[in-house]
Amino acid sequence: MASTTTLAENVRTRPGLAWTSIRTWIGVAETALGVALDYVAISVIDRSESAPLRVVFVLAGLVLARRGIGDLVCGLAKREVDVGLWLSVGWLVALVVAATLAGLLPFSDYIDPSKSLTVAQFMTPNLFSAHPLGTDGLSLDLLARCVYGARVSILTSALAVVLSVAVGVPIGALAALRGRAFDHVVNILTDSMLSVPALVLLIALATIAGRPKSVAAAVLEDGIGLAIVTLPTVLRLARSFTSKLISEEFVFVSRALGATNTRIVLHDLTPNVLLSVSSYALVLAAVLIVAEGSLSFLGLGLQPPQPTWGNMMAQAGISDLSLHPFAILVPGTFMFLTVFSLNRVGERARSAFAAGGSVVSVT
Amino acid sequence: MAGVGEIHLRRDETPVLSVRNLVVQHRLRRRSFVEAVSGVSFDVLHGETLALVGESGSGKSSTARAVIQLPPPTGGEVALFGRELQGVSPEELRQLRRKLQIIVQDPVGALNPLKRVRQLAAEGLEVWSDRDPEKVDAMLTAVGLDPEIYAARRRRELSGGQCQRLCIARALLIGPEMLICDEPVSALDVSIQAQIVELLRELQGSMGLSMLFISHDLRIVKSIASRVLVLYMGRVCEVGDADALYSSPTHPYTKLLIEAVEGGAIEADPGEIPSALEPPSGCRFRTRCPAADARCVAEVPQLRQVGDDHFVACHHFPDEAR
Amino acid sequence: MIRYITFRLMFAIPVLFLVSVGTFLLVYLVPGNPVDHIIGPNSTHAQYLQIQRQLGLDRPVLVRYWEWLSKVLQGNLGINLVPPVESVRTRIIQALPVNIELTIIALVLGLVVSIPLAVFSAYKENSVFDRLIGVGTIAAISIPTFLLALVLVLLVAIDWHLFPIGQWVRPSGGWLTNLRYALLPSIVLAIGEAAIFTRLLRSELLETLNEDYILAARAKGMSSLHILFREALRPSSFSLVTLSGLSIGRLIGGSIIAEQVFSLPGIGSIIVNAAQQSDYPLVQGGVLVVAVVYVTSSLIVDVVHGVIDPRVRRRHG
Ligand code: SF4
Repeated sequence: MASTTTLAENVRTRPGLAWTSIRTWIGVAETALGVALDYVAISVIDRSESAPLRVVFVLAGLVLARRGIGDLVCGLAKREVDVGLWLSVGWLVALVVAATLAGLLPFSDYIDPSKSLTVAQFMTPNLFSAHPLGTDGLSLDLLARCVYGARVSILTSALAVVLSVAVGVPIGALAALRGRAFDHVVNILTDSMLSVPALVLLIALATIAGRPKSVAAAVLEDGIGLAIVTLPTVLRLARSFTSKLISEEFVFVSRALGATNTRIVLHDLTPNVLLSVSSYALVLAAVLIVAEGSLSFLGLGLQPPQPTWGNMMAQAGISDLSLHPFAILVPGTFMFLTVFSLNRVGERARSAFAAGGSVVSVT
Repeated sequence: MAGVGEIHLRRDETPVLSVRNLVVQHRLRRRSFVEAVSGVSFDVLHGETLALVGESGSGKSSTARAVIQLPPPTGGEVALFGRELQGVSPEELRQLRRKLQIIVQDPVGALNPLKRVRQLAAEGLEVWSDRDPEKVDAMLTAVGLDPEIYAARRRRELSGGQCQRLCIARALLIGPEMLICDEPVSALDVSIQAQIVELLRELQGSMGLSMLFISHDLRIVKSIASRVLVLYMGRVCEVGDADALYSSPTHPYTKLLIEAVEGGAIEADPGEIPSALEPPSGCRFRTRCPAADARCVAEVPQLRQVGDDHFVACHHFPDEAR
Repeated sequence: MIRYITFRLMFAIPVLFLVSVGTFLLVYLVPGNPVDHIIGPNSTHAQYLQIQRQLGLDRPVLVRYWEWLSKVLQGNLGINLVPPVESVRTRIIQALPVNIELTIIALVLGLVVSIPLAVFSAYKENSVFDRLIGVGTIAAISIPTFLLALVLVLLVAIDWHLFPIGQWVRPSGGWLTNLRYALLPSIVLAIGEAAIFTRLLRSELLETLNEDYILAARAKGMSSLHILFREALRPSSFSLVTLSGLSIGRLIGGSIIAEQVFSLPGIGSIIVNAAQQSDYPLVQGGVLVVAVVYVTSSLIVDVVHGVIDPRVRRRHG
């Protein structure tokens, strides 16, 4: 299946040379216009102008720039490319790299207000200044805070995914293999966990764990909490993939070749179930990042001044919304782009690697 | 007795595989069953190829799987070199199965999608803790997959025919004496089918294999089988030497199949195949047989000898007069 | 039919039991001692023991669970710790109408928006409209509720003055006013639901469209749009019932955020504020009620689904 789709995509129509080079230039023009529009909307239009106008301008600029990049890439590559997918991959890679190297990057201060006394509060984003995305109410650099906030989001959700897969896959697989009684018990357990909305369960767990004191504690506590919340989903995935795999012909043939149960579990089931479940990892991570954000938005995660996307938005709060929308929009955009990219790339990974296509929906 | 006789079994030699009165039931729901195979007997001698022929639903594949005990049959006996496979411990069964391998219909599905060609070919050897890379490469070459080109590929980078070659290599590497081919070419392009059948025939000759070859396609069977057994709804209709069967088909169902092939169709028009849940009484073919009468409704026909190595289970053909 | 319903009921009982154990343990697992939270640092040991006895913390867990459970079954959820001290039950009963109203409006809005979008998107598969719906729904699902809430507040409430925000007016204070305050939070919740509904419904419609009887209807010359609405939507409507059931759980979770942003006195704010102040009995009561509501609603949905669609019953029979 997979090979036929890539083939079909690669062999899509290849129009004449003239069109592709024209398309490249159209792309350049559109991108330039889009960026210019955004620049004007963000930096030049006076703040007293009505906000809807700015929003419309910004959105129009973004759409135009996105189209432009699409045309540019397709024109250069001389074929249709799924630009959206690659932009998503690009965003995720850039975010992870920046979050990893955050300490080495030339950021202005992100955590200690006493060092930013000379800097203006609530600066508007200006890509060519020392604060490309502006500053918050304590004059701290929004870009730097967002990048450090990304650390928390990424580490927490990655930890949660790893934990829930490590625990959920063996149990889910056993439920599929051992049948009846065990299966029923697991089923009731997962149902009980799913009967409490994820966020409510998270809040309850956060009550037990108390407020995290450091970044490491936050990652650990929230990571474990999120892992517990994701566990039922991972369990179900593992269970359904395992029962699908045991009826596969290659398992039958392994048995005919004389393979023992142990060998079948180790060679045939485990790697395939793991791959299928992992193909959901990105989609799960998207859900988890939102959950982590919600928790810290509610003030139950890492506490300020340590930045997380959620607490940055909570701190800016509704009161600042009309006067200083960027203090909320900047972390919000980081979060949105990350979740969107994870969903986009995750859907693709899922349809490519999950055994028998996607079966279970993650909500 | 539910069976249709064992007169055709050859008692003078110990067959490689002997199957007696095989019954296979599939459980549907709590209390209902379908009987896929109802008392089939046959034997395969050393170096011989027996073909099981019939339309889909005739019980061919169920027979194949029952023979290798995956899952074990509901009733009847299967013996390999005279050694019964029923009631032996799982470990013994595993050891015995080494001599009895199977090639399945879906060659792509039969390969673990994550492993590469060389690992896949060596799967069986690994089970029996024999790691001899030279053996693997030699076998890959023998089935027509140059290890230099293909060794590192996964199943999605192979064609269906190449997958089937690989499956054959994997099965043969552990040194079976009996090979069951369950519709080995029906999932492949017509242009590839003959190549694979030819490969199987060559390997059979060079390795001294005995084969149980299952197919719905009489033309393919003709090119490989020395004996043919025709199945209909889990019962034997006609069995015998391939040439005899082709030159003088006797059972109405065999005739129907052969006419269909000569008329250019791959399969006979299935007509109204009765439900497997409630098979017809007496002769199961009677609902489609032009010569069916009251006796066919009442009595299960037994196999009778009609030629040197030619047996038919029918009340009216060849004519009762004799 | 009766067998199916009993089967489903039998399944709900252990789930409810586990949920009750879980929420009970919530208080038990809290690190530190709840008594310390109540009394000040300067209290005497005698006071400590007295409060401990009051809370029943000096007896074995199983006994305490049993007593707690029997009280809960009588509708007594205890009293909260942080002043104003009140019966947990009263607090929750006051809050529930907010959530019920938000959930109903959001569900209705979600369905009303998603059905035509899905039908049209399936009708013009792979068209520009269809692809826009594809990207748009992923975007809508990807926006965290609180971001969506904030952006909508910024645009609709602050800039365009379309809706008042910042408080809740009970229906007793005039239902029109009540609706004006409830609408924006409900819209926030409805957007995500509508996106999920649209995606699921669209793919299901496309599947049904390829089934034989639809193809036959097409061959007879019925127009596609007509077929979509009359023939294909009917089997799908069964799953709409399931969808609505599932989304009730999501809506309760989502409304926690919306309540916080819009300062609404729903059950979500109760849980969040109680969690922030470590007011365990209140968290416990809130979580328990939410879970029971969810289990019951999915039970009802499953039974209703089983009644209208015989296939479901057979799958479990
Ligand atoms: S036994 Fe009767 S029904 Fe069966 S094949 Fe012979 S003639 Fe036909």
